[in-house]
Amino acid sequence: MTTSTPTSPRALRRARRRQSFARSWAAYRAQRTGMIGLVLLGAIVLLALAAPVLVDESALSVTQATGGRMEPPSAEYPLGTDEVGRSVLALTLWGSRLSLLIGLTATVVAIVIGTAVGVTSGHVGGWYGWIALRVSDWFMVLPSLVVAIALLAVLGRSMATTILVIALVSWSGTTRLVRAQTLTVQSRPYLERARALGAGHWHQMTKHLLPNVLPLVLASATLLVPSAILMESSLAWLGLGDPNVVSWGSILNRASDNGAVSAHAWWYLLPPGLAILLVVLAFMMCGRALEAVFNPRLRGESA
Amino acid sequence: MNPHALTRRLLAAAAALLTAAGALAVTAPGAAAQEEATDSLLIATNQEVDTFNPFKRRFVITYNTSMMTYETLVRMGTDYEPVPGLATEWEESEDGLTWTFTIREGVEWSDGEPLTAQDVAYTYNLLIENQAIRDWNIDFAGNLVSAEAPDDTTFILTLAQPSPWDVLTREVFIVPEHIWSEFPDPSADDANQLPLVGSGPFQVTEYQTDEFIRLEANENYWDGAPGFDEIVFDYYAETDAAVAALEAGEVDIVNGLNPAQMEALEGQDGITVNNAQGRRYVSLTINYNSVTQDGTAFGNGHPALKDPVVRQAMHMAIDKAALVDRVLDGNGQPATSIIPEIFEQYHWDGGDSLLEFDIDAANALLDEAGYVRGDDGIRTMPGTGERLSFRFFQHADNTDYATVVQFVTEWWTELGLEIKPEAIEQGTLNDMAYLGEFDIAFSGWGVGPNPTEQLGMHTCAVLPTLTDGSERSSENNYCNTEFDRIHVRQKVESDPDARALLIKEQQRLLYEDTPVIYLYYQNVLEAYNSDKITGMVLQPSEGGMITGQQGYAWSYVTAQPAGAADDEGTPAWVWITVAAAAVVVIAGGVVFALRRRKTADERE
Repeated sequence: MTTSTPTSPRALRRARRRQSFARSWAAYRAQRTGMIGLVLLGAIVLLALAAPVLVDESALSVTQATGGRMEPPSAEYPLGTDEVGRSVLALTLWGSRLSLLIGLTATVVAIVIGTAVGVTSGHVGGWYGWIALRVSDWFMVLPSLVVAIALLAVLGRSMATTILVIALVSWSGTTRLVRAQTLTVQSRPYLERARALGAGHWHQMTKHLLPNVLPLVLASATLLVPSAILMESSLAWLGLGDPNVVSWGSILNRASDNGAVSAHAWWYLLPPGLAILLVVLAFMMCGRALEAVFNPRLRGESA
Repeated sequence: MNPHALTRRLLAAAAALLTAAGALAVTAPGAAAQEEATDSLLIATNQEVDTFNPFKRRFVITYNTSMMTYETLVRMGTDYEPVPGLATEWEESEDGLTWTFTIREGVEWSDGEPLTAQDVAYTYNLLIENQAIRDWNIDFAGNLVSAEAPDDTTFILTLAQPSPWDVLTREVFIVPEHIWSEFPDPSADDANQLPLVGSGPFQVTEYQTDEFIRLEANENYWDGAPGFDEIVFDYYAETDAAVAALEAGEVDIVNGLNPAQMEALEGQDGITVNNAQGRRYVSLTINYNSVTQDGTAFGNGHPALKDPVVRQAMHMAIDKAALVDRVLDGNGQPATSIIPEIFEQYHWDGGDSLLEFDIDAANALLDEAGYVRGDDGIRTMPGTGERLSFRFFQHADNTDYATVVQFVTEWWTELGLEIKPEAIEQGTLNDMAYLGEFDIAFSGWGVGPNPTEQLGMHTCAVLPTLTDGSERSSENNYCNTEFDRIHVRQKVESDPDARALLIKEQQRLLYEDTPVIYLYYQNVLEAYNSDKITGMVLQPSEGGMITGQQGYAWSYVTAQPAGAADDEGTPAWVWITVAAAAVVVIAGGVVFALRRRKTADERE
């Protein structure tokens, strides 16, 4: 008994964290869909990372393309070719990098903004809290796709603006969530104790509030990624993506612009479409499972 | 319940029903008439209307409506030769300054009033006296001295300088004096209330933005009533949607097809595809000389572009044949200069000056000129050491351009240039181009059989006087006195062969100075419902086009209904139609930001 009791506060903290992580992991593992999602996601991320090894970047070059115009699948081009003779398989593989990158980056930016505004507005309150809340409400009621299109038309088309625009239209949901959790934690006695011991706002927010809202943020982030990927694909499909990079949305955009629908070139339309579907599905599965882990009410009878 | 409230409700319900019934009564006959009694020729379009004012319009769509609503003195024949229109005969004076036209007798306006030489004189006087109309057409109107009608069938035009080609090929659409003289300002857009009154085969009667333009046939047309009772330009946001509509029999003529769509339509029952040599060029303009008449520089073009060696190296590093082959699927010709191959007599084939695609030679040129590669592989300017990093702007709604950008960027990157491609909305790109705020940008024009207008956009005389981008007569601020000297000579040269030589010399100068890199001449890819339409006359008459005609709408006027063959859409296409509808709905929702309209690039 005495041997397993850690002595220093740091070791104690670490042990507690390990314990809580193990608990969450066990709860996560118990959910079959979550595990399927995780495996699927792992496979996709692995493929995206390995794309340069699997297919040389020259496969994206239009001047070095060797195939014919919109050729159906063959041994040489398992998923056919596009209008300049590039392999659709290579495009889809490389497209995964950008779609994932934009989806993840936009989510991180949105989550950082959302959490910062949420925690501060919940903790500080007063007129600042009120204004922050109204601003996030305002962003929440804006029709996101229309706003994104308008912003991109003004800011120009590039990867950075796409990320920024997606983050701008999706941070407000996180704010609401984080603020609600902050208010709950805020009223707990240990925070009163911290205040009584002289903890400042910064200490309270970083040491007590943030660690308590982070699990929730993680779950909400996992659910935000697929919507960011979908948004990026929609924007690129509408022709508002960065024209110089290959993403799933931009492949679809080029396919429809070049008459793949009229030509019945299904091999050009399906791969990027299915890829989007798979990634979104994988993220949703993981996100739902995480949510259930951190919010026992959602776990139902298994709790 | 309160009895009064009940009465009110019943009354309100009755009123609502009455309104609905009224609306039905209004719409039903129209719909029925369109389907049964009227033979309609339905043409798919996606270009907005700039203005119906025939003196001011610049877009292709309003060029087509003007060409059918009004008429010119001299028509352009099916092989671009001058043929009698409203004038039956014409005569040039010895000194080439006075032209006498005999105006056709018995011609009526679509409202029944007679058309006389007075109307013609009134129209030409608008070009001379109305300041705004004169400015829009300054290259032609500036040469007019007077326009008179001594009697009802004689019209006399006096010029400041001889200009035989302009007088015969310049399309001045004759407007009715009895209507136009009532307008407070004939140069205003609202001077054109629908229905328009004209003397041509069809008149515009109805226009709904983004829905349709309706033109009704002129039953009293002097050259015989057209075969169809009306022409309707239907708006389709996407060509795929228009193709699906053609397959379903909902539209009769579609143009602007891409190779995949052509292939899909080829060999389908009841649909005829037409792949005709076009009269448009697509080019890259280089911002090398943004200066006004008095030499004030404006804009922010890269200084390295001022060096002809850089421009030449960039020119050499573009494989135009590959662009035609890979981007257009062979449906076009590599370009040398302004005049497309379709106008053989003026087209310049490059001769000894023709540059071969040779990236190594282009690299050698740049090496020799002292543009050394930096550590990052990008060349720098001798002296200042500025990196050769160019902005490359394309029209956001043009799929072909997006592909061309990829090819050209790859080639130019091999030259050690840093290329930053950017897709920009049409209108914005045009504004930036005239402000000189670009390095390289796409451009393109439809060329007519008389090259003067296109060549005139490259003379020193049309350089802007202001730096605010409001004067848009010069294509690329090209200014070469040698070029100008030949331009003046070709305008008055009456011998066609001698003139052709001069025009080719002008094109050679343009090619060697490289203010613009001409990429290709694009074919017209179009398809029509041959179960419904027969007898369309092409321009040129052999292997010509249907939708891109100039000078007179031969195809639409000669089109005849081919009996009843209005098939319903086949189930196989339902899914495409549904997809197309979804596209239209989505596009409709975001239409303000996303207007995928052809604007400045589709100019006539």
